This record gives sequence, C-alpha cells and structure tokens, in this order.
Amino acid sequence: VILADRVDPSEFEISILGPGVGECIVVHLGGGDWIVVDSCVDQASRQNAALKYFQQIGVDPAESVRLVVATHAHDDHVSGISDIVLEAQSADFVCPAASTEPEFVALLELDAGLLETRHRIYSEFQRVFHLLEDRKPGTYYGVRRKRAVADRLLWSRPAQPGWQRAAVTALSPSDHAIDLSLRTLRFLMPKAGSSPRQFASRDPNTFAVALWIEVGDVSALLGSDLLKGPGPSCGWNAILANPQRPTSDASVYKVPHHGAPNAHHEGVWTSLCADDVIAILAPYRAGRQRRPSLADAKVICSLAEQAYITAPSSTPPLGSASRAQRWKLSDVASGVREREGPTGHVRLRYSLDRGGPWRVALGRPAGSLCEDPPPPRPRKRRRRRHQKGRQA
Amino acid sequence: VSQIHATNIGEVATGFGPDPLSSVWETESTSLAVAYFNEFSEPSSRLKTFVEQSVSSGSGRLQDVHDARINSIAQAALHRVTTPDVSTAVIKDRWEGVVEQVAKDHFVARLISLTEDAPPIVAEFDREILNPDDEELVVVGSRFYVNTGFVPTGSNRRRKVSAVRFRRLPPWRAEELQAAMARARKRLDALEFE
Repeated sequence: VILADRVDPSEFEISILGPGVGECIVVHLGGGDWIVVDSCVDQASRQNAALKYFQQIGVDPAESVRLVVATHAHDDHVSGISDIVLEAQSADFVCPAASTEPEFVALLELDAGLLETRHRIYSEFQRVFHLLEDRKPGTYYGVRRKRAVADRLLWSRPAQPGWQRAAVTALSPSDHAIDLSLRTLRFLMPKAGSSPRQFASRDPNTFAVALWIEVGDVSALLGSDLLKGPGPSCGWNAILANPQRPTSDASVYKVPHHGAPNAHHEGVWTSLCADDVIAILAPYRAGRQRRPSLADAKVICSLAEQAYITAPSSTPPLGSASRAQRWKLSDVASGVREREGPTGHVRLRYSLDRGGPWRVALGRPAGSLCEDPPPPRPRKRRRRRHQKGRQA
Repeated sequence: VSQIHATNIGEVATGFGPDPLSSVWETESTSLAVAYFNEFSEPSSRLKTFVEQSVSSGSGRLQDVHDARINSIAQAALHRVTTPDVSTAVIKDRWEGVVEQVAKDHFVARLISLTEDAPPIVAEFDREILNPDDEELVVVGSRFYVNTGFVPTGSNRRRKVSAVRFRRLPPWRAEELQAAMARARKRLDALEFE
C-alpha cells in the first residue's frame, strides 16, 4: 500500500518504497522540491512506485522533482528509473562516477546488442542515457548530468524567507573506490574470443552513492548499498576517515544493503547518526539468506531508537499463479518463491515550522523492525458460536 | 518471438530470406533453434540435414561467414536434435531464467514465464541436474531456459518431463568490442557529464 495523503510545503519528508524490483526513496525537501533516489516497480501492478506515489499525492514530477539519483546499476535499486527520468523532465540526473566511464557505457552497448526476450542487466541505464541525450543543457528541457563523487554538492537551495536551506551531498564513492570500480569494469569487459558471451558478474557495490541530506537543521543519511570497505579508503571506512564529512547528526538513516553485515559499520551509527536516529530499510529476498536476517535486525534495533521496514524479509505467501508455477517446476527446482510481493511504504514527515518529532506512517506490509511479530490470531470456533446462536 | 526466430532459422535451412546468415546470427540462441526442432517436426528434418552437412563438410552457406559462431550454434543444435527423448516431448511451459547467485551445489535464479502472464519467481536449482556441458556456464548473469511438458509413454499414458538448458552464445569478436567502446566514447561526449 502506498500512502496517499498530501504533504505540507513546510514538511520535510522521507519515504522509502519497496520491495518491488528495487527500492526507492522519495524525499520532499520542503517548498515543493522533491528528489528521487533509486527506483522500484511493484510486481503485482507493474507500476513505478515513486510515480504512483506522486500521482496519489498530486505532485507533478515534471515540475517538482529536482534531482534523480541512480546510486548504482543493480536491478534491486534502479528498476524503472528510466520511467522516472522520462517523467521528471526538469530534474538533474546523478549517477556514480564510474558509470560515466567508457568501460561501463561499452558494457551497456554490448548488453543492448544481445537480443533478449526479457532480461537485460543494464537496460535501465541504457534508456536513461538515451533520454538524456535529448535534454542537453541549454535546450528547453536542458538538465544537468552529474557524476557523484565523495563531498560533491549535488543540489542546494539557499535559505529564503519562509524556506529553509536545503542541500544534497554525495558522501561516496571515494577516489580510491572509483579507481577500484574502474579496475573491476575493465575486468568485466569481455575479451575477444572469450566465451560464454555474457557478463560474468555485475559491477560492484563499491560504486554506490551514499547521500547526506540537510534541510535547515535536520539531516538524513541515505546509505544505498555502500559496503564497509573494501580497505580503509573505500565505503564507510573512507567516509568516516574523511575530515570533510558532515558534522551534524542524521536523525534518519536508510540502512545500507538491506541490513547485510558487510555494509554494517558501527562508526556510522556513533559518528554520523543522532542517538535517537530512526532507521529505515527495505528487504532483499532473492538469495537463500534474506536480508535483514534476524541477527541483522537485532543489530539494527540495538543501535536505532526506532526502525521500520517496508515489508518483512520473509517470503510472502505464494499467489495462485506462482503456486501453479511451483508445481510445474517441481521436478527441477525447489524453494520457488515470489521475490517481491506487495510494495510497502514507510513515510516519515517532519514539520520544519514546528520542529520534531518525525511522524511515522506505514503502508502495508511495512512495519516496525523491532517489535515482535503479532501473535497468531485465535482460530474461530465456528461450531460453538453456531450452537450459541441456536440457543438464542 | 521464438516462432519468428525459428522461422528465420527455417529460412536459412531452406535458403530463403533476404539475409539468412544475419538472421541466424541475430537469434544468438540455440534454445530458440531447439524450440524450432521441437515444434516443427517436418522442417526440422530438413534443418537437421542442413546443419549436419554444414558441420561435417566445412562448407556451405553457414560455413562461409562467421564460421566459428555459426558452428557453435549448429553443434549445440545438432546435439539437441540427436537427443532421443526430446523429439517426442510436448513442451507445455517455458521459462527464461537469469542466474542471480551461485553456490557450490546449487544456484538461485529469477524466472519469467514465457508462456503465461505470471509474476516473476525465484527458484533454486541443484547443479546435479545440469548437463555436464552446461556446468561452466553457471555464472551470475547467465541465461537459461526451463522447459516442462510431457512425453507419451504408450498405452495412452504420458510422463512429466523437464529440461534445463543454458544459453550458448558464440565468442566475442574484437571488432564488436572495439565498436562498442567507440560508441561508448561517442555517447559520453554527447552526454556531457559534469
């Protein structure tokens, strides 16, 4: 369920939508300025979650979205992002620095050359680049295209009467992470005569863009899929070692990499987040180990004042069509499940006029990560009620 | 789509079509060729003969251009044609899969039905069920096809059968890679990233 009540211009809002294919964060910076970070497509309705949300709350993305950020080129983050770029005609586009290197774009070209029936790894980025070619700076729909690198200010709005200052800054990737990503891309680039003709692996999470968002005195940290390292000069290690890193504390933290341990850095919680930080995240259900696991959730709940997730990480019940597929595949496959299930919505709103606290609203199946699951409903005792009715 | 591609292959087999070699090349998938064999029994015998001749004689239209690539398609297709069980199988359902995770004994893949408008699913496959030839193809991002159906076993009975086959693609050519890199540079120039 995607919530539908409108936002007040004086409210700072952070919404996380997922799962679908992907997760998406929609941020209202006050004054009608929006940014979209990554993208998500609901698998049941096949609708883009962010665009559906905008439609429901009466926001025109063509007029109001200032920035679209693709944090990295993985399906579970950028699925449907080209639709957002298509609609958000005046928004600047931001992607990781390494994805604007010839090696990455050549991979897009090679991927597009593989005639596919359905799947394609990089098709979203390919379409985004096609769309942007028609929106050159200086034209009517001219938008800026920016590489995200650590410490780069991506968008800002100065303080004006009635409007607070707002800024969006990239915290990653570091210079060393960009070098590593390029090396990986060169490795991924196929060699002449090599076979099989498919990409052996995907680009790494070293690419990922973590964002720091400030509106007035309130800050939020969006962790994308940024990992702890590798090494001291990449990932969260590099951000924490950077003397230029933000000095205020985030009151909202989008937990990176769906709560996986390889993205967990205790220093992020202690050095970049407020004591009463609210953690938000979306689950990842594709692998045998779904995220967040119970252990991951325990760690997050021990560090956050409150934590909310857009859906449980457990597999949703199979629909009838999927049950039929499971039966048909039973000779060759096991563990058949629907990866996405219905898209949930965690929405946080903060009044910039009156101050905190953040007001939390949840759209099913979103819920608190830290509360015990509700006890099973007692089974209805139909016979007894029936007998009661007879007696009456 | 598979029928269109299969028709292209049929055109090659019978010598029709404006640019038969590129048609074959554009299919890039032996699975589609296999689908052709499975579904069109009469033309498949002609195609089988054609492929056999092309492979064995080292000459003929398929051999003239892109011989290494066409050979790899032809060899794989021939292998399937000469597999006895498949020829009588009736395929009822098909999925296209993409490998998402690989472990020592299994892999996890995302599947999309090619025969029904069903939601995408994730499933786990034991590597034991694969053809030995397919083992090296199990890497993240590789595509495969799952066919399920039945085989008549006589006396009005039939047996449920399933097959998993990885997509085989011919090797990359240096010219393709160079052309992709040139297009990439041109595109980046046009995009003018700050």
